[in-house]
Amino acid sequence: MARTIAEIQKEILDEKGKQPSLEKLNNDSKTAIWKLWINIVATAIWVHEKIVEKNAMISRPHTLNWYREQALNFHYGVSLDPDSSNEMSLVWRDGSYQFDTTGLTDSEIEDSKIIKHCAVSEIDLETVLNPDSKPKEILSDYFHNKVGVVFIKVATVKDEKISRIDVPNQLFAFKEYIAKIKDAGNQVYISSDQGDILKLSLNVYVDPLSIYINPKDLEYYQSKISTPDSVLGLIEANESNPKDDLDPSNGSLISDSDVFPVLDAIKDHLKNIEFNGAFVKTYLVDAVQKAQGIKIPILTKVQTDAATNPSDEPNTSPTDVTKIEYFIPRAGYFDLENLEVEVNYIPYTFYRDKQ
Amino acid sequence: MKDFIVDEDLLITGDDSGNGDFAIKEADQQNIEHLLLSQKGSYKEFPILGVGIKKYINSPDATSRLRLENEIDKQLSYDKFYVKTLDVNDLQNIKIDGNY
Repeated sequence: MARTIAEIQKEILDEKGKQPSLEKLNNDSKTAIWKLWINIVATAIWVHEKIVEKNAMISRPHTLNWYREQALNFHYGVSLDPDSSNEMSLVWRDGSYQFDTTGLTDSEIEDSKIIKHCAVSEIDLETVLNPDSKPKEILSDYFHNKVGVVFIKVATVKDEKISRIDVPNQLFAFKEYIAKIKDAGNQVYISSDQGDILKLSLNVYVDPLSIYINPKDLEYYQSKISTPDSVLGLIEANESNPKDDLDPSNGSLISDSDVFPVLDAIKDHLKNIEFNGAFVKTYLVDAVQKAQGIKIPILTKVQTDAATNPSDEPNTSPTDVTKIEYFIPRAGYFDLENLEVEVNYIPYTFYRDKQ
Repeated sequence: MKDFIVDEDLLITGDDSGNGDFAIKEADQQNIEHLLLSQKGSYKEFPILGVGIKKYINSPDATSRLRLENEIDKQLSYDKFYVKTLDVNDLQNIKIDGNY
């Protein structure tokens, strides 16, 4: 950890105090020249320590951070010559190895960097040697190469949305690049998948003064929440009939029918989860709570599944993860295009309800 | 209070020993001079330090003079300088009396 300017400055001051020959310098003013010098030197040392700190973190091979930095630095379409000793395609700049980009404009460089998000992880033997798991599982994990493998999840940004990199072309090139720079003997598993599917069901008590609900739909919404858990299965079965008749503008702001506070809050929250970050149920509820006109948001059901490739059989029944407080999407992010949110809007009118 | 002394071109003055050492002399006068001349933000460690007197001198009306007096007073006490009297009526000859 780099020290702060104040810490460095204090050390210099302490050292100065130990030197009898410097006792003459006793100007206490804030404008004092000797103090100014100390400040300048401390700042210079601080900048230097910052650089050293960054170098230590990313320039040393074999660390996960280093793999991440290398992945983010990958330039698609620039060849990497491993045998070159003079025609360097990698150069040391700003504290890390980088592609030699002389002659390219900033936007060209930015365009060729296709990987915008990257998460690197690994499974170590200790995790697998869980005392609770059966020896068979341990052996299976070990021999199926989950141990000692570096997992790299990458994604790019298309139209301001996270999306996978072009498979197979870009992924193939990226794999080749990692294969060339990685340490010999390391196993690296690279994936770039489509965002995970996410299906949410919520009961939301809303302020009827600011959020529109078509009065004819109230009964349907009410019926959905008053059903005890035991008969939920029954409700799901005949869910399809009345649902289609619902007013599409339910849940929009009365003042602006284009704004759906609940849906917008959910989308906004999912978008702001960092790459390979966890989806936390409580955080989502908190985010919805802050939206305009929302009184009580209740997350009743969460379903998720890894996205399937177009050629695969579509997975019709996503896994129910309602009971899990948090999880990390397998692709590192959710597919916001195919996000399914089902909201029961219930007017918040307890003060008039029969007790 | 003693400090290194700089001349008008902000060059460090040498002492009289002839060994090339920096002069370390009484610096109260210099502190106040630097305080008046420096703009806010010049001292990175103390961003609000500095009177920036040049800006005031170009507009010699009464209100700005009052403001200048107020500013000098504030800045001097910020620098732990005890002000006895302060007179800026004559911009060519500002009188400051006091001590650290």
